[in-house]
Amino acid sequence: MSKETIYYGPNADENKKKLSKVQDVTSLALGVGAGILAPEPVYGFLFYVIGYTVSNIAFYITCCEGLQGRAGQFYKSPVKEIFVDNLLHNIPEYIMMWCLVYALVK
Amino acid sequence: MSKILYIVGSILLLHAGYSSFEFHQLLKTTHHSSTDSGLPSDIIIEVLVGIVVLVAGSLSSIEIPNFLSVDNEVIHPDHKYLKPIEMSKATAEFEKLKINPFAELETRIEFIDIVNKRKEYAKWSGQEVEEK
Repeated sequence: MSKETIYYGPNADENKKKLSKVQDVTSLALGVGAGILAPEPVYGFLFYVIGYTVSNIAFYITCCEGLQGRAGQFYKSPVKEIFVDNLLHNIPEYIMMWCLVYALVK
Repeated sequence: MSKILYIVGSILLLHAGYSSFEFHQLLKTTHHSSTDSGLPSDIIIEVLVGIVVLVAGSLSSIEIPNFLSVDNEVIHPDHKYLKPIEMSKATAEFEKLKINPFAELETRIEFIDIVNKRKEYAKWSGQEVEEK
């Protein structure tokens, strides 16, 4: 019988909050950047996906100590939680800032 | 540190935004369409640097500060940014700090065995007297 891991909920919640804070700031900053650069819509979304993934890689390497293979200590399924789960969740923030700054700059 | 990075990043983005605004105004007055000529590369670089600085600021803002234990010792956390979620590792940190997150539950009046506690206290105070 495999040994079941018991998790401490408050720490897991805190880690998730920290991740979503970084992702919120990233998507807002990327939105401002996209508004200033004014790319074509398709490239705008590509810019978002690339920028978001790069910042998540930075989070994975620096905060989760992913290169030392310790990411599993902080998240139950680190790759899914960091890179995939909030990708669509943060798009509205990005589009909001993109439209606002684009309207101001143009 | 994170506040400085936030401020620098915001200033860079604000400056790049204003430069871009002026550039578009110039294009309008000279009757060029903005699709013909892209933004100058210095504005693009400024925007990218601003975004990187803001993201760095957000990463440094989640750093865990040092703790002060019950015994007045400064304790450095094992991990700089996040806390371990496994119960055994999480409780190891509490033991280092000499605090118990479940103390509130474990010391509820209904669950305290008063008679046993008095016995323990009597034993302890008796030992103290003997030592003296």
